[in-house]
Amino acid sequence: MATDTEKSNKMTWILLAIPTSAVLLPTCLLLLVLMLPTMVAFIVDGSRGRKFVITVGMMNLAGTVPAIVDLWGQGQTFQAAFDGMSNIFAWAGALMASGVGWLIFWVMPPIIANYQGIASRAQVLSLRAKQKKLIADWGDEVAAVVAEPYQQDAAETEEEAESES
Amino acid sequence: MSEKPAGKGGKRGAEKGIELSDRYEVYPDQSLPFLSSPGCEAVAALDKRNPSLTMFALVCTRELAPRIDAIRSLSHVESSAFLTPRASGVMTYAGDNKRRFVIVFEQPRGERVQADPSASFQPLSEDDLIRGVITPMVANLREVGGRIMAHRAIRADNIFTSGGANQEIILGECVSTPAGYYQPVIYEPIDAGMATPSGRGPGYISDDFYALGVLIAVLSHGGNPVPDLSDQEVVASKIAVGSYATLVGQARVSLKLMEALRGLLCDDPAERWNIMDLDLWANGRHLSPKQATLSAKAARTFEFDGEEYNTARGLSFAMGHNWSMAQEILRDDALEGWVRRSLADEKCASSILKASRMSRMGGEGGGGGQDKSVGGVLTALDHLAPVRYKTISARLDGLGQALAIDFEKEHVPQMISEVVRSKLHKSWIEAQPSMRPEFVPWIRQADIIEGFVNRSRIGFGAERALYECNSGWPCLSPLLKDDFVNEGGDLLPAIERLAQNRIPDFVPMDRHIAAFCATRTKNLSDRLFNQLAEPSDKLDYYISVLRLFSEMQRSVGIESLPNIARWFAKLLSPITETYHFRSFRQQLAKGIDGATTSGDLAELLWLVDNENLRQQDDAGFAQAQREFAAIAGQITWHEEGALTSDAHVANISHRASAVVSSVLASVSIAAMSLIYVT
Repeated sequence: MATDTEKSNKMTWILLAIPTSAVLLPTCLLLLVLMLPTMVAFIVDGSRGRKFVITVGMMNLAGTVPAIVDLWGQGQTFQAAFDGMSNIFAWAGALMASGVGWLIFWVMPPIIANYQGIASRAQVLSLRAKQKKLIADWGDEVAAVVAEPYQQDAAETEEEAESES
Repeated sequence: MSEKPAGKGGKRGAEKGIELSDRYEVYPDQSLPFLSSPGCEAVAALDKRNPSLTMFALVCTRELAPRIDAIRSLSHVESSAFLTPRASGVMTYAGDNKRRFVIVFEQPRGERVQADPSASFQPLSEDDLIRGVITPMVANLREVGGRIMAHRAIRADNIFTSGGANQEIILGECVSTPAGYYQPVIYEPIDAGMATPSGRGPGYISDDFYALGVLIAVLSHGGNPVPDLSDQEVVASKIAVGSYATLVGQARVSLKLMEALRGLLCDDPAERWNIMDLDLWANGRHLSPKQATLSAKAARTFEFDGEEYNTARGLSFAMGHNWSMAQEILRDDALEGWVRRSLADEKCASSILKASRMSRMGGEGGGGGQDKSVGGVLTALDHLAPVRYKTISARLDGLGQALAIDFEKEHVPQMISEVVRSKLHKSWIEAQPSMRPEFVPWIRQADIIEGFVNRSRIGFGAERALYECNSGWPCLSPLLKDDFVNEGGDLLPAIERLAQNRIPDFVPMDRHIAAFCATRTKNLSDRLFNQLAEPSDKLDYYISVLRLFSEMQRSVGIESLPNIARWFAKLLSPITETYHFRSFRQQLAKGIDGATTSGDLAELLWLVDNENLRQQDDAGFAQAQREFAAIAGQITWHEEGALTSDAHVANISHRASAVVSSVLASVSIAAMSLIYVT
C-alpha cells in the first residue's frame, strides 16, 4: 500500500510533467509514439521491479535520440514531430534499440545461470577448505554437529519470493 | 645422611665399603654373627678418622624399625660401659641395590656374657656382680634415665665383657629394633610380660630397673633360672607368687644381694627401686627388703577352663588367653558373684555386672559388644594388666607401637581400631587407682589413633595413626619395600629412585605414602588429601597425586625431580589429548617436555591442570563447532542449488539486464550527443 509520502511524490512529478509537456509538446508526442515498444513491455511485465520495462525502455529511449535531435533541429514544431512519426528511420532506430533491450533480457538468464553454477561450486570448495582447517585445528569432534540451516539476507529472500510470484 | 661408595681403604681394603656420614665405611660382605642383635645382622665397619678402632654396623629392617629417637638421644653417651651408636643412616647395598638403615657402633672388646637366652655359663660371684655389673649398670641407667627414656634391652645376652682387667660389663645396644620387642618374658615386668612383644611399648625406666634385677638373678644363677617354664607359665608364676619368688625362689643369695633383688624385682612399679635406691645401696646403706605385694586371694576358687583360680589377676590372665571361653563366662553372673562374695571387691563386681549385662545384650546383636565387655572385665579384674582385646594385648603406651609392628598382620589394625572405638583404653585409665602423669601422652596417643581410624579416606585411617604415633617409623608402602624412608624429605628422592631405570605403569601413591606425607611433611593442607580421596576419574587422581608431590617438593626444597616428572608426564600423557585445539596440544606437549627436563613438578602441574587454558579451549571448541555447523549449512544450501535455482537466476538476470541496458543506453546517448554536437 502506497504511503502518504509516495502519493505526495507522485503528485509532484505529475505537477512538474504537465507544464513540461505543455512546453515540449511536440517532443512529448514524438516520444510517446516512438516509445510504443516500452509501453508494450510495460503491459507484458507484471513484476514489481519492472526490470523488463527498464531494460527495454532504456534501450528504446536511446533509439529515439536521433529522431528527437532531428525534431529539435527543425525547431520543435508539430509538423516536424509528425514528420518524425512517419520517418521510417526513426521507427527503425526505436524498434531496433528496443529489440536489443529484448535481446539482453532474453540472453541474460542462461549467462547468469552458468555464472552462478560456477560461483556456487567455487564457494563450496572454499567452504570445504575452511571445514578441513577447522578439523585440522580442533580435531574430528568439531564435525560432530548438525548443519545449521543457511539463511540469506531477509530482503534478498523476500525479493526472490516476490519475483517467483 | 650422605653416602657414597667408597673405594678400598683402611684395614678392610680387600672389599669395597659403603661410606656413611663422611666418616665411616660399612662392609656389607663382612658379616660378624657374634655381634648380631636379634633381627639385625652385624657387619664390619671402619672409622676412617680413627682406623685403629674396630667398628661394626647393625643392619636394620623396615618391618622392625630402629628407634630413631633413641639413636639421637644415646649417640652422645660417653661411657665405656655403654655401646653408644656412633653414626646411623641409610645406605644402598651394591648387591641387591636395596637401601637399608645401619647403625655404627664400636666393637666391644670382650664377648657376650650369655651366647643366647637359653645358654648356661659360669655364675658370677657377688663381688663380680656388684663391681662388674651393678656399678656400671647404675651409671648406664643414670645416662638413659636422664634422657627420659628406657633402654628396654637389658638382658644377659646383650651385655659384653670389657675384655680388660677390671671385668666390667658393657651394656649392648637397644636401638636397632623396637623397644622391648626381643626381650625375653622373664626380663619383663608382669604387665609387659602379659603384653605381646609388639605391645610392650617404649616403657619406663622402672622396666629397666626390673630387667636389671632379672639380670642379676640370671648372672648369679649362671643362666635362665626358670628354663623349664613357658612364657605364659613365667607370667602366671609371677602373678601367683611374685617375681622375686619366681626368679630367685629358694636360691642361695647373700643378704646384700637379696636386698637389691627384692627392691628391683618388686612387682609394683611405684615401690620398685630407682636410681636413688640403687645409689644408696651401692654406698652401703641398708634398706629394708621389699616384700612381694601379691593379689588378694579369694575365699574360694573360681573354675575357668578346668583350672582353679584364687586371685583376680590370675583369672584375668587366663581369661585373656582364652577369649571365647571368657565370653562364655560372661553369659551368667557367676563371675560377678565370685568377685563380690569371695574377693569382696564391690567396685570390681559392679564393673563385671555391668559388662556381663552389656555382653548379653551384645550377644543378641553381634560379637562386637561381647568382645568389648570381655576387654572391660579383664581390666576390671586386673587393672595393672595391659589393654586386652581378642589377640591384642598391649600396654597403654604400646598401642601405637603394636599398630606399627603388626600392621601387616591380618586384622591387627582393625582390632586396634576397635580397641580405641570401644574406649577400652579409657576404661583402663578409669580402672587405675590414680591418674599418673606418664599416662597423659599415651591417652593423647590413643586419642590420635581413635581420631584417625574413624576417618577411612586415603591420607587418614590406621596408616595415618601408625605414622602419627611412631615418629621414626619408616614408610611401609609396598612401593618402597626396597628402601628405608623415615623422614618426609626422603620420600620424593626414594620415589625418584624408583623411576631411575624404568618408568613404572602405576601411580606412585597408596594409603601408606599418603599417610606418611600427611604426617612427615610440614604445612600440607587437608584439602590435598580430600582431592586425593574424591577423584572424578583416573587422570584427576593422577593430578591430585602430582599436586601433593609438588607441594612436598616446595615444602622440602628439592629443586629437581626429573624422574618423577617423567613418571607423571607418562601417566598424564592422555591429558594433552583432552585438549581440542591442536596448537594448545602442541604447546602443552612442549611445555611438559620442558618441565620434565627441569624436574619442576609445580610447573608440570600448572601445565596439566591449567583451568584458564581449559576454558579457552572449551570456548574455542564450542565456537569452532558453531562455525563448522554454519559452514555445513552453507555447503548444503549451495549443493541444494540455491544459487542456480530458476527463481534466483531470474532475479539476478533481471537485475543484470536492467543494469546492462541502462549502461548501454547511457553510453549510446552520450556517443550520439557527442556526434551531433561536433
